[in-house]
This record gives sequence, structure tokens and C-alpha cells, in this order.
Amino acid sequence: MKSVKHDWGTLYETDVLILGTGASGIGAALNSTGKGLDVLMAGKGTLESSGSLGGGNDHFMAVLDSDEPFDNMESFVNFYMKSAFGYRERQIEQWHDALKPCVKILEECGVEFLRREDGFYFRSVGFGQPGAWWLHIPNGRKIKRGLAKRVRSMGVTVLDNFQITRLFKKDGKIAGCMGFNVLTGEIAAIRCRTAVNCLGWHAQRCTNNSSHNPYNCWFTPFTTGSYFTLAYDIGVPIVNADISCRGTILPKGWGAPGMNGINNMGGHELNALGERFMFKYDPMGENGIRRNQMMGTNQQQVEGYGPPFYMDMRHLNEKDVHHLQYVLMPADKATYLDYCKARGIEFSKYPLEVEVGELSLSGMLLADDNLETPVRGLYAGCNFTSFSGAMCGGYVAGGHAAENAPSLDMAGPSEEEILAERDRILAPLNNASGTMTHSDFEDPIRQVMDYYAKFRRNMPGMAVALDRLNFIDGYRDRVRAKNLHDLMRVHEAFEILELCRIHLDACMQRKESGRGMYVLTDYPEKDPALAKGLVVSRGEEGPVYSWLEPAAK
Amino acid sequence: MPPVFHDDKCIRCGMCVRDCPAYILALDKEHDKTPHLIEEYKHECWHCGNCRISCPKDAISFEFPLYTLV
Repeated sequence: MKSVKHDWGTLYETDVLILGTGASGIGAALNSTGKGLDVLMAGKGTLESSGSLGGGNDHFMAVLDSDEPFDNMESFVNFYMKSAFGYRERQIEQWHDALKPCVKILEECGVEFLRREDGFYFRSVGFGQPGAWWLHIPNGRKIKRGLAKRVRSMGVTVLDNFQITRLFKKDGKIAGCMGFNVLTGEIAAIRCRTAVNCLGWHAQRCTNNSSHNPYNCWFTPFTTGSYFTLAYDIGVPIVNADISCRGTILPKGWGAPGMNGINNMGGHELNALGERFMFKYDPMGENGIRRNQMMGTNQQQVEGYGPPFYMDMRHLNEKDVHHLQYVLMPADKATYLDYCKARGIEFSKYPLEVEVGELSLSGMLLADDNLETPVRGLYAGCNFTSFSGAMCGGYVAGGHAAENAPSLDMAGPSEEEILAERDRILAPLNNASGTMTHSDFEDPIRQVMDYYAKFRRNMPGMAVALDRLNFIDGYRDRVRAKNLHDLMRVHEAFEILELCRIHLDACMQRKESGRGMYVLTDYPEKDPALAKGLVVSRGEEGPVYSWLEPAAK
Repeated sequence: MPPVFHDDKCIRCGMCVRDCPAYILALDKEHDKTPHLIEEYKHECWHCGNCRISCPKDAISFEFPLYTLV
């Protein structure tokens, strides 16, 4: 790995650059290393604990090609080609092909998958999928440590604590990135041949849940949209920035994953009247698609049948309910049992109070069969869902990035670009006359989103929201960071603002309801003609839109 | 508010500070390197438990803020 010190900071040179060190970044590192190339991964956290996987995970989705129903590539491809717009069959096939290698790696790194009495993997059904694809992980708390140990031992250069603030391209090809160390403030620029974008799919802190603490959310609150905004800035289009927003049912007052385990083990959701209502909204009830559970629960709330809402697990057998609370939940979030203790929660005795959580924003980067974006040499590592999708998506993208690297030139930002970005990065820190904190700037973004653009909205309201977000943008130069911690949060806040604007503008292009995790009161019906992906690109005078043709399957 | 450090068990190794993804923990460098939560940033705790996962001595427990309990 070549690195040179300059007056402004450090310049690194690598064949493959991995942006982000979460599950996707790990996957990319595992499949790009050992091929005679320099591989450098850079991320805001520390490799051992960064991303949503840092605090654990209790499930890994894997089709394993056994004799069990729907346990094959065709079913897997069919499900994803039907459930989302924007995927390509070849992409999903490669996700499938990465599943078994990734399961093997996880086991080698100490991950235990629950097994049946006959010795084969125990799996359950989730998210309206046709087959039992979800492996259970009883010891999921230390997954990230095990994977990190393996990656570090493979000779990958890891820049921990490094917040990436900008990507660069040259002649249509990825050239590198810049950012700063959030602990030391050191600026760095990285030149590369290829890059894998693994900066995280679920952008959080865009709206609030009932706790009104944006950091108390479903997935890691430190993923704030850079996967999309940095790529968008250099010309990568985003697919479905509108309808890909996501959310989940949360334990009341507490941001945590885990609802997949509760749903697929047979939990019943009840409203305030004690009625089990989810079959009104999904033929598979609670274990259907997550959008239906969110929108169904929200509908019940609008109609006054809650809050409170509950997940009732008292009917489960003693073994299952114990496994759920004491094995799976703390594997998904390491402090789950602390929360249960603090609230006196016991799944076998009392229903768990839950709430409709915050809305996170998402989408996917436009990419070809090999996950390469229209910016040559830049690969989309976070286009697939869940821990499985993150790790396998990174794995597939990393493999292609390594394969392609030798044929592409080393490029990087110019000295002029480096100095300009350094000044931009540090501007809030040096803004002596600035009067606003990052929270002063970021909180009003959520105020706007919560009020005008949450689960029920309308076109005029979103237009007002967009106008208000543009107004907030006008205060950008007033923000001051008094230290590096604040500087990190300021740049996160800028990402959140940008992604919310992209999302709202995209939502205004799709005049229907029923696909995104929101209802448009002025367009309440699903329009069959809009069963296709919306693509937004950065234009000279604002967003430019086009539609993907419906997939063949 | 989370996390709570137990001085009798803590060996001042600093792993909790290293692995906190929120950067809201610090060591008392002037005295004995005892870890502590930076008061100003306590609301940024995600309760992910990374500090405790990395703690070799089980010296960390959690006290949940009131807004998670109502």
C-alpha cells in the first residue's frame, strides 16, 4: 500500500477501494483480497464494531439448494424480481451464488447456526417469502468481531475512524475519495482503480419514532445516506429513492431490530382492543411483507384502535418463547435483555408493547449485471436487503471490483480538488461566526419530514416540505462544529438533508399509493402502469427522472 | 444513562472507547484512564452494546433513559 504525506494530509493509493466497513464492506474485502491487489477499506467506525452488524444479528437469509420447498435459485430470483423493481436477474443469481460461500465463512469465523435434530440447518419463513430461508444465529453478538479478525489477517489495509465526505471521478471512471479521521482530524485522499460502495443501505435519522431521539432507532443511526448522496454527486443514478423507504415495528420506545424473529416464530400482533388485525392487511398476517405490517398498524392507529399495540407470544410453546427472548433477541441487539429487564418484559407472560417506528430512507444505486454503476469501476455493494444481502452484495461487488481493477487506470483527485475538499470538510470547524450547532440544523429536517412527509401525506404537503428543506439548506453556512465529533455530525446532517430532498422530489413523480411505506391521500390507489422502477439522476438544473422498463419476470 | 461503568471490574483497557460507534465514550487521561460517557453526547447512544461486547471483564451495565421506558 502506497501512502505519501503532504502538507494537507495523506495520499493513499490502492487497487481496490472499499468505502465502508460494515457487513457489506466485509463481504467486499473477503472477495477482493488475496488476488495480488492492494485492497484498502475505509469507514467511519472501527471495523470490529461498525455498521448495523456491530451490535449483533440473529438471522442470515440463505437459500441452500436442498430438497426443501423453494430452496433453490429459481424461487429466490423469482421472489426478488417480483418484490422490488430495479434488480436484474443476474444480480440476484450472483447473490444466490454467494450465499453458500458466505455461510461457510461465517461458520469459520465462529458463527453458530441453529441445527435440527437431523443435523441440517434449522430455518424459518420470513417477510412473505415462499420458502424457509432464514437461518437462526444463537451467538450473533460477536459476528462482526470474528469477521473483522479474518479481514485484518488477510492483509487488507483498514482506515478506521475515517468519514468519507466526497467521491471523485475522472473521465467517467471512479478516481477515489476524500475524508477525515474523526478522532485526529487528519485529512486523507485515496486514489484507486476500482471502488466498492458499501456505505450502508438504511439511512437513519430522517424521521422520528415516539421517543423523539433520532439516535434511538431501528438500525445504526450512524448510517445517514452517504451510500446514495456521495454516488449521486458524481453521477450515479438512484433507483426508487421514493418507494424504498423502510421501517419496522419497534419495542415501545426503543429502537431495535428483532421483529423478523418474533413474526416468523409466530407472534400475534394485537391492537388496543385485543384484536389480531394483520390478516386484514396481508394474507400472511404478521409474517407477510414488512410494509404491510407497518402500514396496517399505522392504519389501525389512524382509526383509533391503538396505541397501544402488542406482539403476543404467550401462545408459543415454552421452548420457542424462551429461544425467542433469551437467544435470538439478544443476538440481534446485545442490550435486548437489559431493555426487557428495565421494562419488566417477559414474552411468555405478557404481550410486548410495540409501536410503529421511524421511517428510514433507502433505494438502490443503478447498476448492471455485475453491480457496476454507470461510473466505471464503481460497484454497488449495498443494493441487497438484510445482513445476507449486505454481506453477499459486498462479496459479489468486491469480486467484480478485483477482477476489473487490473484493466483500469489508477486515478485520483487533483491537488486543486484536494485542497478545495479539505477546505469544505473543515469549514464548519473554522466557522468562528457560526451560531448553529449540528442539532440546530438537523432537528428541523426531521421536524419537516415528520409533519409533512411520513406515513400519510399528499402532493401539496410534500411540495411544502421540499420548500422547507431548501430553506434549511440556506442555513448551512451558519453551522459551527466546536470539535471533530461535531464536525462528523455536521457532515452527517448534510447527508440527511440531501437524501430527504432526493426522496421527496422522487415521491412527487410517482402518483400512486401502495408500493412505498406511505399513502398519498390525493393518489390513494396503486397504478398498475407504475409497476416499475423510478430512476433519478443529478442534472445541471436539478433531478432528472426516467423509468426502468418492467422486468421480464 | 447507558452505559454504566463498574470501577471495581474495569481494567482500564480502553476497548469500550475504541469500539463505541458513536464516539461518545472517553478515558480519563489525567487520572487513571477510567472510561466515562461524555455527558454532552449521551443522547447519541444507540444502546448497541458494542462497549460491553468488547469489555473483557463484564464491567459495563446499562441504564435505560426514561424516554425508552414510557
